[in-house]
Amino acid sequence: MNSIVKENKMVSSYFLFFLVHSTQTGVLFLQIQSTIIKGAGHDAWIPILLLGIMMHVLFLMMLYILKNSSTGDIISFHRDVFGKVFGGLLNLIMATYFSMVSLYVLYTYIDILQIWVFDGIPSWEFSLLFSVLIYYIVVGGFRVVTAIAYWGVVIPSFLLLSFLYLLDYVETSRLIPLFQYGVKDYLLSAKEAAPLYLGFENVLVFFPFIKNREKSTKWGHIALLYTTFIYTLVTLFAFIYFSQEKLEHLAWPVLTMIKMIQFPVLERFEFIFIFTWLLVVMPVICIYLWSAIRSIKLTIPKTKPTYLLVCLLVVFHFVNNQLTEIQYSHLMAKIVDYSGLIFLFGYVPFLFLIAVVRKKLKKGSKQIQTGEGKSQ
Amino acid sequence: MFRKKRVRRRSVKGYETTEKTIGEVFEKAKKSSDFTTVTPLEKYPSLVISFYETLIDSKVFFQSVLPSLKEKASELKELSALKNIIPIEKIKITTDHTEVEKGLYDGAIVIYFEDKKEEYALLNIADHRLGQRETNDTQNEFSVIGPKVGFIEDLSTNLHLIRDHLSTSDLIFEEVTVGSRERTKVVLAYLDGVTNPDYVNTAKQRLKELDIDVTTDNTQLEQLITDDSTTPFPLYITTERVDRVVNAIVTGQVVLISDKSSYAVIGPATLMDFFSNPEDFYLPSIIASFFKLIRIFGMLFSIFATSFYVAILTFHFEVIPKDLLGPIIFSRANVPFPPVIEVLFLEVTIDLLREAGARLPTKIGQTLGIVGGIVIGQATVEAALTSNILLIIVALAALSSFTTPIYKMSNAVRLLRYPFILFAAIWGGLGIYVGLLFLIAHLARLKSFGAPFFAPLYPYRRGGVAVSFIRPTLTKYNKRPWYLRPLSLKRYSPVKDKDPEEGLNSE
Repeated sequence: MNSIVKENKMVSSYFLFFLVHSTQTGVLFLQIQSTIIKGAGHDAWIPILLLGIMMHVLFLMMLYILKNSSTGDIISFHRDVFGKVFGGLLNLIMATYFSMVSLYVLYTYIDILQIWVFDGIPSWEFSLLFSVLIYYIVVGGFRVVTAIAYWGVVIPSFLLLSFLYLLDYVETSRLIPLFQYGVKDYLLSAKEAAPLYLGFENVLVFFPFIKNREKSTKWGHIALLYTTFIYTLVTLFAFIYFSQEKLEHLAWPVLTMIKMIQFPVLERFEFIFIFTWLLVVMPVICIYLWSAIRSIKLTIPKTKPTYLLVCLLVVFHFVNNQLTEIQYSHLMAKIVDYSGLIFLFGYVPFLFLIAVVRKKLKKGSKQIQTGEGKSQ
Repeated sequence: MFRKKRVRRRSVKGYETTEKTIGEVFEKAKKSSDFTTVTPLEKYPSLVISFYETLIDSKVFFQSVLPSLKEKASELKELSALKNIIPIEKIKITTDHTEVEKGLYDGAIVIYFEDKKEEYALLNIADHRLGQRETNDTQNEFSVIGPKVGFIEDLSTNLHLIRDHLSTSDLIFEEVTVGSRERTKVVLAYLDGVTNPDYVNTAKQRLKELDIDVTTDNTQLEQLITDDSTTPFPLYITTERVDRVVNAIVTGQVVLISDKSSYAVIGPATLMDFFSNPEDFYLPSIIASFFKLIRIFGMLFSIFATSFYVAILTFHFEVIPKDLLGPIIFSRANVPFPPVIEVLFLEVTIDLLREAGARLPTKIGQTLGIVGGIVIGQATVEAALTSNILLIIVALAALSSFTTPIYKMSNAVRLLRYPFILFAAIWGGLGIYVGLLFLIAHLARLKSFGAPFFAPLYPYRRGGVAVSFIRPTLTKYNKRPWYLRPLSLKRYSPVKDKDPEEGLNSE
């Protein structure tokens, strides 16, 4: 794994924790609880836990792919395996996927803002504000993006304390009996829950920017564990807080839960929660966008990343501004979910197989060569 | 290509006139009225002394140089004989005209024979302290306990203060001359074997390659060598306290001291350094930690208080509990403006008062405080231009912005609140969070001598976070901060007490 990244652009290895964890937690986390119960009902937290463990396998696959690429990222791997033209095409498709996820997260967050806080402010105002913010962050390079990821984990962590307030209102008997459902139900829940874990495929692009790569992988695993832990915890909490019938009808269960909280100096805590959620959302948007731009930049030489960023943000602004009807939102959600799942569960194992076969072939050819050398 | 060449040629040429011969040097100097040429001896009219009378110590000249010269004039045939005649060591004989010119401006007298214009004797009797203040209390960074000695506008005095305080052979002073016209002496002070050489080299390189004609103060120099000149944040600590500088040198930072400036510049600095005060080290650890936390809280309050007021009153009425809503509505009932106008009005008033107070002589300044604080404040509330709850918040925010010990940082904090107020006025609470993200993204790119400015917090450095917010006890705080990357980490190792188990301790 030779790297083309200079050391003054790299970040320390422990930042992998923040980068991986912050890209995984997004908007979906606030609404998933009501959709996953369609399958396994109150047992639906089990698929979440199992999926989280599965992610480690996928992560190991990714690391294997990265290890066998020439500069330590998927962009060069594509080029190595599929050639310059076809590999470049794959890179561009990947960049499209990345920028679409980025756009989708931004779009949904603006949606939340309009539903929960500001019903009067039009989307273009938010979109403009966020575009400027995203521009300022992404243009600063990977280190600034990492800073946002870091603070996007540290500051919102205090929100977890807010669940302590809700402990008085839970009913643990709602979880019993366990293992009531069939395998098919669990699979259905798992399918619904899988998009939750999307996000760490960015590792494929930004991994060369991490220092001490061999040792840093443990931080990736810790991050995946932490994400799984938080997802399971909050899902469990939603299940013991609401009855199933109620949960089915809620669009944003976590926010509805938070709405309960009141303090003597602060009547409606969910405002603080939603605004702080910006810190959770922004790393997702920025890292995906940064990955997209890096993929394009390395594929097509002589592109200016700044212009690229501006172009993408203009597109983002247009979509956020014009396509505000709900059918577009559903369409976008579907596209992002499916393409993400295909990428994570189909494409990554596929590349992994290619990497394994390639290495075997290389070894074989080397052995033949050395064997020939010996015989002579 | 062409452009590059042109730039290079110009930089070689320089921006000021240069004299070719010694005659031109004197010709030019004679245009100034303070340039004096005397022929002290009647017997030897060819012996001439030239000097700038504004630069030399006239007492030395008239009491020791002239008398001894007149006394032993008969022995004088050659300039080299001057060393036996004049009881001052710093005599230099030269033939180079640039050296003569430089010597004249450094406060030397030039002795030469009118008929032998090849050799010149330079005798340095400069009076550096002429016209400088004697008192050196720390006037702008005050502390109740601890030493109150501060720097003055003289390099040698300042260096003396540091060397006197920290008399170790590891303390290195490196001199660099800055400025094409003024040639200010700038001294880099650091601790050999402790300070990371990267910082010293960076600072030296920036100073050496700096192209400027005149710098009037060290703080100006700091802006010229800074890593980012467009940020409101100071990237280096400017201080006039000797103890602060000594502490910085010991912890492994580089200090810049320049001639004619009473401020030392400490770098690399980190954000949280600006909220610590030398007094923290003189007070007990718990008390010092408490006050440090108060200062940090003050900074945060000062930035966010008014913007939260604007956000809540413009967009999020629902956030206010019912009991509190009554007084707020009551106080704002007659105010005709939206909250943002009301807030900006008061904030600008406070800044006006502050700026006026800073420029006025002290005696008038006190009157101003009364006029501003009491009359304007009371009157605006009575005239229903602002609500009195806001008046309290603004006053508290102003008060807490003054708790920041370093003046430059206090200014940055005061400025920061305006963008937050505007963000809050347009997008409410969301605007504040967006502003916060802008702030984080900005702080994350700042560097001080190439080291991250936001350091122990981001990038996270073990052991630095706690120290940023509190002041540990001196027995535990025996290491240099790791994020400064010093060459040796340990400063001292405290010994356990050896009190006898019995005796004094009996009850």
